[in-house]
Amino acid sequence: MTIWTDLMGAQVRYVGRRYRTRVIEAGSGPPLVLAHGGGGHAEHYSRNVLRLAKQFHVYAYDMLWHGYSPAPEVDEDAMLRFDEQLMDLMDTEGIERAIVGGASSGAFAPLRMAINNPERVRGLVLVVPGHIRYPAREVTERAQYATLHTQTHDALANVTEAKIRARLEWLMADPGSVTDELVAVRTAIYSSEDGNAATRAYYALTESEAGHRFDVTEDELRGLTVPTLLIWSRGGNGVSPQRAEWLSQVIPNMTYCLIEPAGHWPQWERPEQHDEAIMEFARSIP
Amino acid sequence: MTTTKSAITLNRHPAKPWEKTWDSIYTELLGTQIRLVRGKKYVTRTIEMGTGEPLILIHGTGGSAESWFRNIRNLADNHGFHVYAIDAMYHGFSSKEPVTDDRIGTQVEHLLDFMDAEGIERAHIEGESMGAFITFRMAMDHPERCLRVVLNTGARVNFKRTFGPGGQPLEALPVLTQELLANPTEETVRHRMQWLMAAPERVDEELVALRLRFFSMPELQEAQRQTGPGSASAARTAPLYEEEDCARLTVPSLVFWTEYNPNTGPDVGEYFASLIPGAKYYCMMDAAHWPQYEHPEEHDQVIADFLKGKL
Repeated sequence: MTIWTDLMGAQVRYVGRRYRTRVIEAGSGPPLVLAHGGGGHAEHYSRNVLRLAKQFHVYAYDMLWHGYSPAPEVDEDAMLRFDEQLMDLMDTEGIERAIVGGASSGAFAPLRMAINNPERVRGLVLVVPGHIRYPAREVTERAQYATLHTQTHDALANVTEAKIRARLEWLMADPGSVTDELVAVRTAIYSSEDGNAATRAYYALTESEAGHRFDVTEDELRGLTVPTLLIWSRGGNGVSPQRAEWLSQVIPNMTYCLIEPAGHWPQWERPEQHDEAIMEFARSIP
Repeated sequence: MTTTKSAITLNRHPAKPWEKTWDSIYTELLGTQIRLVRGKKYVTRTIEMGTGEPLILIHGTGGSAESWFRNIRNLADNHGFHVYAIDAMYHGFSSKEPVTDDRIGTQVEHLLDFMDAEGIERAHIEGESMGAFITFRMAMDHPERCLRVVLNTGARVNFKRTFGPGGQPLEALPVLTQELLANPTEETVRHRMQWLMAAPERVDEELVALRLRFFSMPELQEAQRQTGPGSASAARTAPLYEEEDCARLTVPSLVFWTEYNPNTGPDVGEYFASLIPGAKYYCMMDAAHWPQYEHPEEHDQVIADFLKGKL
């Protein structure tokens, strides 16, 4: 199985008026729009798009500063661009309402849309979401994220397949889940002049104060009005159960799905479970 | 795994090992668009990249747009074309109905429908094998839509002279195709694809997996049964041009042939080129029926030079 054969029949297009966003797209059902995590790209969902397309019109897109989407100027309000990009994608594709979702830092745009424009959100899917003002983090998890930080900057400073692989292995419960092809794809993006500069700009932003100005607060989570699915993992890095418990307490109208063994990339290591959870969640929405 | 005995033993040529290693299809095509274009009558899947003069690439029978996966980025990024590799009618994810007696004519209508839908007034077109039949017919019937054409290892012309043998036995392709259709497995797909190459080890396993997926699609099987090598309609595919017809071709043409082309050797290609006014001829050494894949960079350089008038 390769990424190409996994995606046979899907389209890859550039859409949007304000931003030229790259999407991987398939299916003809109700819309489902998915964002990958920080430092990633739409191929995050290459094992999911066609299965989800049996029930949805799926869009997996490259976030700004990622993959082959644009990298706008970074300013104080830069984090607002993510929500604007998602809106731009939906507007130009004629999507009135969608199930929107994201993994890790990619959950930020869907979350902001669910808070600011709930009329556009039929359902919200959060996979180990970031950009939330969690209560103090557990020590082990903080150490895991420190490792990720080092691996990311190492890989960006001097792109080699070995460094990219180490960075990708952090995401998995089983390091063997990282394929040579996945390493090759990310290496191609990180080693291109534009891709490297954009990824650096993204990390500079998210490591600055501006990168967290709009992080989601407890009150905002408590005020969510849309049906929400939380997907969590056990068995890998950056998936402390404390955070899941806290989210379960503060998010109203929430469905919880635990996938194991998996880490930060359950959609890659356990694609059937991840996709089935989203399909079942969609069926449960009136 | 069960091993089925094929009726065909393919010739093996003294092919050289490749000097370069190639990435997976997806990695080679990173950054391209893959779109399903809905025209007035037909759907066309295209793999697209670049800006510049449009260059449409059409694969051979049983193939798909991925046949050009080692060329698309290079032709776009380094040679400056707006490349569209398409699934021809009856293939890949493009329209497959209706199968007509004038199959090539319908494939030309499909090509025109695609160009209209994309707003392409005139394009360079390269066709490989069956793609060359389509390209030749397109250039004969619609020269106003063609900039320059490359006829890669395909000539549907009723030649008056006899030639030396090609690189493989003539009966091989119909038999291999029918064996594949009767029993689509990795093994039958691989054997059918080995016919395309100067050496069997050139067949990439990802291409085998890809083609097996295509040949597992019922509508594609049916289209191949009706139009593929060994089918009844392939035998009566019109028109079979006469030698004299070639003199009417006004579009600048490159006939691109290979040392080990399976059915028709370089003597055929060279003769074909001599019949077309002003046509250029190029013969790639160490290649059989997939020159764009067997030596991609050489292929791209030659056709880019020709399309830019430098050959």
